Parts: sequence; structure tokens; C-alpha cells
Amino acid sequence: MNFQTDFLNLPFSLTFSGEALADFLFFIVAGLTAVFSLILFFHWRKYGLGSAVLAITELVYLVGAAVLLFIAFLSLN
Amino acid sequence: MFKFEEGEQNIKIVRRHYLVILPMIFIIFILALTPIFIYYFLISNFLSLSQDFRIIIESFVSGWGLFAYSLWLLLLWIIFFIEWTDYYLDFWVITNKRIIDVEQKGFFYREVTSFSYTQIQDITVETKGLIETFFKFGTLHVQTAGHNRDIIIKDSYYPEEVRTLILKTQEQSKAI
Repeated sequence: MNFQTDFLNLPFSLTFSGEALADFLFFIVAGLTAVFSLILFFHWRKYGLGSAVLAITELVYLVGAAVLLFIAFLSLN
Repeated sequence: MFKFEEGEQNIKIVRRHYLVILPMIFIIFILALTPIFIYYFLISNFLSLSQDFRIIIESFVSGWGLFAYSLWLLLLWIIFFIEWTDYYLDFWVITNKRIIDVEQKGFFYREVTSFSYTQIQDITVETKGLIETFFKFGTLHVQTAGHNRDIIIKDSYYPEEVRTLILKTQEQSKAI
């Protein structure tokens, strides 16, 4: 599926495919996930008082995020 | 964050009851299911949509549905852990020398207040309603001298036991 920007009355015309848009979206989301993961891990490690609950939380969070990103990546193709 | 003084021992860490985050979990669960409900609602015969529109929806879902849904779930997953962090990093540390109140407000705002047992004037326990009574949680109001505000431990687990523990530790710290 292709998208065009003709309707925007820009001095130039852009054509981009649905696949390119999905790739772009995927990398934006993956980047944001990485940033939020770093912030979360920083808080858990610095302020969590070494709690065992947080160690399990880290694992659950990482596995969940990785699985969802992997599914998104596989469904791109 | 904070450092224990010399000879200071951590007696108990008091957190808010898990029921406090249940509404948030419920909302996230509903939001996770919402795209599925919307999809089945749109393709059902309940709405009199044109056949072309249904074909567009079905082709989008078969082509991009899994991709979009997994990104949606990922977003909700992150939101859940952000909220959970906000809940879990709010706590009170009862030590043999003082009480430390740590309050996490969002990611980059943190308030740490500590006060010694000599400053405590009174402790009130407030258990409101059926749910708080049944699940044994409530609010502790610690009135202190020399602080601009009272220390409030909201939705604490077993507030009566926490109150007793604070009073007992206060007595012990006076004896030393």
C-alpha cells in the first residue's frame, strides 16, 4: 500500500509505502521502549533498596517487552 | 537516596496495599482488549456498514493487525510498569532511630522526609469503608512536632500493627 502527500498542497510530493511507514513506526517504538526501560531500571536499581520483588519485576518486564517487540518485528514481514 | 546512620537498623518497610493499584490494572486490561472489541463490533452485522468498508478493515487487520496490536500491548506494558514503579517506590522505612518517608511522584520527583521518634506526638489510624476494613489497610496520621505537616501513610498494610510497632520502637528509643 502506498501513501502520497498530494492532498497536503506541499511544494513537493512524497510517496511512501505502508511497509516503510511500519518500519519507521517500529524503530520509533523500539527506541522509546529502550529509553523507558533505561529509566525504569535506573529507578528500580537506585531506589528499590535491593528488593527481591524488583529483581523479579525486571525479569518479567524484560521478557514481556522483548516478546512484544519480537512479535511486532516478525509481523513486519 | 538516603543513608542509614551509624547503628541504625531497618525494622520494617511499610508499603501501600496492592488493592490501590487494582483499578489501574483493570483499566489497562480493558484497554488491552479494546481493539479486539472494536474490530468485532465493526465487522459484526450490528452496524450497517458498507461491504467495502468491512473489506478495508479486514484487509488492514490481516495485514497490519498483529503489528499494530503488539505495539499497542507494548505501550500498555510500559505504562503499567511506570505506574507500578510509582506505587512500589512509595514507602516508609521504620528504623530503630527514625521514620523515613519516601514519596515518588512521577519519574523525576522524589521527596524524602525523615523524623525522629522524639518528634512524634500522636498516631491516628483511619480505616474507612468495607474494603479497607475487610482487606485490613488504612491511613496512618503521624502528628509531629517541628514539621510543617503531618506525616500521612496512605493505604498502609495492617495500620494498627504499624502503629503499635512505631509506638513500641518509640518507647525503646526513649529507654536508650
